Amino acid sequence: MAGAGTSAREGLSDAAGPWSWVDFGLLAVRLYLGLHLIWYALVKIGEPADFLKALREYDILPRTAPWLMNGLAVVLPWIELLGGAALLLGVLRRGVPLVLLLMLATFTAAVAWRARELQQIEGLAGYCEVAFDCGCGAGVVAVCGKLLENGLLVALCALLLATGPGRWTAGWLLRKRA
Amino acid sequence: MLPVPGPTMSSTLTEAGLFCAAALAAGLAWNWLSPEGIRLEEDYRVAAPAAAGQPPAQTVAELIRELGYQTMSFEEVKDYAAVAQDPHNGILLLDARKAESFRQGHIPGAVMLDPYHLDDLLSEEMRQTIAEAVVVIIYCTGGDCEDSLLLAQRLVPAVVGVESVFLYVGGINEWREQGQALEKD
Repeated sequence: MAGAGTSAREGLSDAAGPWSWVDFGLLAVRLYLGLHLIWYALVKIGEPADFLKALREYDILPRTAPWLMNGLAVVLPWIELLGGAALLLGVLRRGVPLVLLLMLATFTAAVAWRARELQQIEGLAGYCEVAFDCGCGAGVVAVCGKLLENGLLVALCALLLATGPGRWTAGWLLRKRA
Repeated sequence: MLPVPGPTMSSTLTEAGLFCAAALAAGLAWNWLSPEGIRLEEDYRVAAPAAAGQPPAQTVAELIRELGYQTMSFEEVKDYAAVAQDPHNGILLLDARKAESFRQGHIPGAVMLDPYHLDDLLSEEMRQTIAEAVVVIIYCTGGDCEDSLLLAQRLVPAVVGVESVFLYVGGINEWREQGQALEKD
């Protein structure tokens, strides 16, 4: 995360100079991440009970406070949906990538942990043989592929947190039209 | 190229806080307005009291055993389903899956009663029908599905006695695999 001074990358992506591969690259990252998050969010928002069932499998919150788990099932998809929309628009330039990074990293660790448990429960020889509904919005998935996918998403969030959204944002469009 | 001041830690955290507050408000509002919304204070888990020194039940089979519910095989359910459509027989089939799955296909004569929306679905008439039934067969998807168990736990003993309740563990998956007809709404 940048400090209070100037950021060369921030300057590069906001300046009115010629377009560069960095602009295209950051736009591609935002499109991929944003659409990915919105797609999976819509699946979960439509079926909160299904998402709650998947979340419960992790057994990460105290059983004495069901409202915590229920609340998580209600709010997390909206973090994904609004986060995806913010990435597409290029607004809340660092705050959104920070929240998404923390959320995805936490869930990636939880998926890895749960897969280890399932491997032991089911007596599977290989970790990558584990497949389960991780609550990610894609149904039953092979754990190794899911961890790789989530690792990529975490890395892309970290990139946007470090660089900002790049040149082509909703704000840039409005300034250009003004 | 003019340098642009980078964001400060505090502005990033402020953005993050505003964003989380917006997501919280949107999520709660949507949950309140949506017919698929869940009750935040409700405990939707199936829980069996663990015996002293024993780990808590984890699988559906362990939970059924510890909670003392009776089960039915496919053949038994098939026989009961054949007469369940006549309300005078006292046989009731309850489908504990969500409404959309029920509409796509269910055991003929079954009634949809999603335990996640029981307060909306359990009318006084339905409560009376269940209470008067001699045999109440409850099923969901099958396999690891806990919804039939959750529904049973919410109906027994307030609405019906445990002696009348039978869980069809094979569920709709086994019913379909056995080539049985499905009714669609």
